[in-house]
Amino acid sequence: MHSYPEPILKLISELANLPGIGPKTAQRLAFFLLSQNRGRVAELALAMLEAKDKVSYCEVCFNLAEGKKCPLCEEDNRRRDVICVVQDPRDVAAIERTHDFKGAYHVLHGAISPMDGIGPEQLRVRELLGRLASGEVIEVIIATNPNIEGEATALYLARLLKPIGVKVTRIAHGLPVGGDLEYADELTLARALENRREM
Amino acid sequence: MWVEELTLKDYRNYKNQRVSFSRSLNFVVGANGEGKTNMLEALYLLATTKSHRMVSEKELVRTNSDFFYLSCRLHDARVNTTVELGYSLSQKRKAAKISSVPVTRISELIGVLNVVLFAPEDLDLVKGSPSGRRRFLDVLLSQVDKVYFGLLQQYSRVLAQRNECLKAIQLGRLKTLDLEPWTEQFIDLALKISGRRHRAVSVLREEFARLATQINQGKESLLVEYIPSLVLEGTNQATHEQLSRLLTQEIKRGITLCGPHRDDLRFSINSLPATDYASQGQQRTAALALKLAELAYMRYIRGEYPVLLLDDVLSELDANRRAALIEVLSRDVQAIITGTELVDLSPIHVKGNYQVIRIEQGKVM
Ligand SMILES: Nc1ncnc2c1ncn2[C@@H]1O[C@H](COP(=O)(O)OP(=O)(O)O)[C@@H](O)[C@H]1O
Ligand SMILES: [Mg+2]
Ligand SMILES: [Zn+2]
Repeated sequence: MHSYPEPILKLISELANLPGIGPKTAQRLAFFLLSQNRGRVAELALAMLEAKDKVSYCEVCFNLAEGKKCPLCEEDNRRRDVICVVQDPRDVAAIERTHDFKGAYHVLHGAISPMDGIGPEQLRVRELLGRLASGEVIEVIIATNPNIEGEATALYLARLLKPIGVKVTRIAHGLPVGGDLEYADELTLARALENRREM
Repeated sequence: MWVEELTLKDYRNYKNQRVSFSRSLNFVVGANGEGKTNMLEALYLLATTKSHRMVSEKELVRTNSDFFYLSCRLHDARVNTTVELGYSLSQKRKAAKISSVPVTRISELIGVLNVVLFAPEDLDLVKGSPSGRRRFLDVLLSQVDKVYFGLLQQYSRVLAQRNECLKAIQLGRLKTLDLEPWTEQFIDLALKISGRRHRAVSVLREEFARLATQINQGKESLLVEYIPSLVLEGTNQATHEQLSRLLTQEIKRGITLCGPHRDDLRFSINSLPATDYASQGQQRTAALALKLAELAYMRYIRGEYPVLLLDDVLSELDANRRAALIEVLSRDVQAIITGTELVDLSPIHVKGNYQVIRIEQGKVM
């Protein structure tokens, strides 16, 4: 690899810094880019810069936005009295795909993790409290990930928000719909049993 | 359950070797350093995904090779299964298949092939550190209970986060209240894990006591019991209170001071703690009885005996201990027994149906 010209080495090392990309993939991508015509490469570079320059975070919910507010916060016919709290903008997109939720969102940008030095201060928790101050919100749905850190974040928020008098709910842990019970992984099944509901 | 065939490729000192086993008794015979333990280790690895010698994967790859590959064909009462496991040094990755279907997580392998291994280092189980005894319980339970293994993984994550949180509180970077979300999950998982261990040991201990009495011909009473560090009876509330009494100390030391990672198995001889009083012979009796009780427990849960792997311990057992072993072997158990020479296990092996596998430098002769 040391026989490559300096600019290629630089490109490879930049690509290798991206998440999920190892040295081998970085090398393959670099050579792919080199094989493209100049226009195609410029388009890609421009797209990256434009995304970086124009996309910021919504000042209300911290979802991705082009401008001050995200498209969801601009929508008129959404409920503002129910807020669904998620870890990541991708989770907003996932819930939006269900077309079942017509309330507002709040993106924390992570989950509590002492191992990574992430506490409530590093998340958009204070901003969430700010949104609840007006008393307009009646329910907060916590939709953090069903793993250790997501669960800790949910427990933390529940303890923080309940005294305010707002209803706090947690999305259910369940079995995949349309699957066979027989093939569910054991831990999911055990959890689902534990959180069963009366019919 | 029994293993019909094992293939080892570039594993330890095996280049490419296929081994066939009889469904009852197998003697693997060879001089020191020829690859006897390596063969049992391979089966243990297919059963648990880890080496019992607690080394990293890279040591398992044959010198100057990039990967190892293991596969075995096994039979239980209902089905025949093939288990395959490979590891690549350059990719630092394991891959596995069950009956030719690739698994998404390597841990799916655990529990397909069930084994009980008795190796020379197990003679330290009684007097050795508590972590060895906890590992005994964890390997046993993970093999028969998929949920247990998942709980263990979650527990170690919660424990690491809780410890980090305690350290951050000590340094004033977090508040005591920030510990609550970790404590809550910690208690939930801890009670589930310790509860399962407790139930397993309460079954295991009967068989242990029976076998120990048989081996020492009733000379003394040997008992084993589970010592959880958390109060198991009662509510989550009681556990909360137990933890809050430790809080100041936990913050000062930056670690969690009770829970499944601090539990123990306690052996006693005529009501005296074996850690202090057991003689060499008593330790040996306890270790053998524990392993054979493990075998019985797995049969009790799974309805079938696991494969018994005895590494270099047979020659060290006296007549009474051998008799206990023979009683177990004369049931429907597949055993793979290693030693530098053939050991007379009459009356069972005079019945025939046993096989001798001689190995030299990683090859079956
Ligand atoms: N990664 C490896 N590559 C090649 N040979 C190995 C490797 N690991 C261990 N060995 C060899 O395996 C032999 C030990 O095998 P082992 O099964 O422990 O012997 P024993 O028959 O006494 O139980 C030694 O000769 C050692 O050099
Ligand atoms: Mg050996
Ligand atoms: Zn918004």
